[in-house]
Amino acid sequence: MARRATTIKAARASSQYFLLLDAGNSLSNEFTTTAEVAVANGGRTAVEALSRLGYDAVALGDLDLHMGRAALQERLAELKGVEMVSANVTDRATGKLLVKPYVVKELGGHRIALIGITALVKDDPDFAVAPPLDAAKEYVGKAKAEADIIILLSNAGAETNKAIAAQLPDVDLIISGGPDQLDQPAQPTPSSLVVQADVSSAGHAGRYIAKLQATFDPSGKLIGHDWQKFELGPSVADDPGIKLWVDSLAKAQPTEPATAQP
Amino acid sequence: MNPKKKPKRAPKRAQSALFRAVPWAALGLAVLVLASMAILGGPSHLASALARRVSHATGAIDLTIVHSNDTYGYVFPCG
Repeated sequence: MARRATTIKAARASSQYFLLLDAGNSLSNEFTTTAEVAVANGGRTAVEALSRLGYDAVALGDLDLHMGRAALQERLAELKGVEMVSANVTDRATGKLLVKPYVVKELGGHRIALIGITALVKDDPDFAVAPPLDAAKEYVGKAKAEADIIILLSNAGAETNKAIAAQLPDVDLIISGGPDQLDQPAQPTPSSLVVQADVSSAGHAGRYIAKLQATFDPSGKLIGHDWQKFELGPSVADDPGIKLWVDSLAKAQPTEPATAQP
Repeated sequence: MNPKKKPKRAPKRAQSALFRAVPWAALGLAVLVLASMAILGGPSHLASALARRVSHATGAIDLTIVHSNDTYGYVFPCG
């Protein structure tokens, strides 16, 4: 987290127009070790981290839904300045979308729609998840009336995301996540791009981050890009402020049971 | 009574009335234009037209996006 903060700060400082985005599954993963801080506290530290790092928008992930309605609504209420978006997760209790389907940010005179797409989940007791392509079609249609640049934050997987971009010409960019590896940006159409920082895996979580420089023409059409992926290894210095916070979490965290020694 | 003052007072009133009318005329024209757009293309067409006008006025943009995915909320890099 402290290395991620360093990378983000450097990019933010050198950019006139900057967005910090996450494709989802950023709160917790109950299927990994309970020794991980975010798993042990039900995503509370993850929400604080997203707020401290200054994320502009984060997609609601399919794994985030596993924490259940009550815990998830608590976490959503704790976010500070971070927009959690999803166009296809409905609360079964209300029949309404759980979070905003999209937000519009204005940068450099352009209006940029950030639409969340959650990977398909079946038989969740609290939430109904609509097929990603259907949701993308509906909300891209709505958002394009308010924006000239359309960005999807989607954890539906790289293959699904490439198919969405190929079928919806109004989509300029998809920040991808979820299953399927995508080592280099994909261009499903000449004016659209799908990028993914990391593959969804417990062995990778938080290990990579990526930076995209994208040029849009006056009408909002993507006309150029440069993409880099960064491994957050020991060569990246820790951000002092975030390191202090992370160290305090480590001290408070109960240690994993020791493995029996021979 | 000074006869020289009469010709001056009449134009002032006319100018003042003109100045008062200009904002109302501009407002009326704007309402007429927006109403025509809304009627011809619907509210979404109007919003779209306004959005496009904003972007056309500004030129190209170089946007930096830092992005992550599937971090699971980990505070320590995994692997």
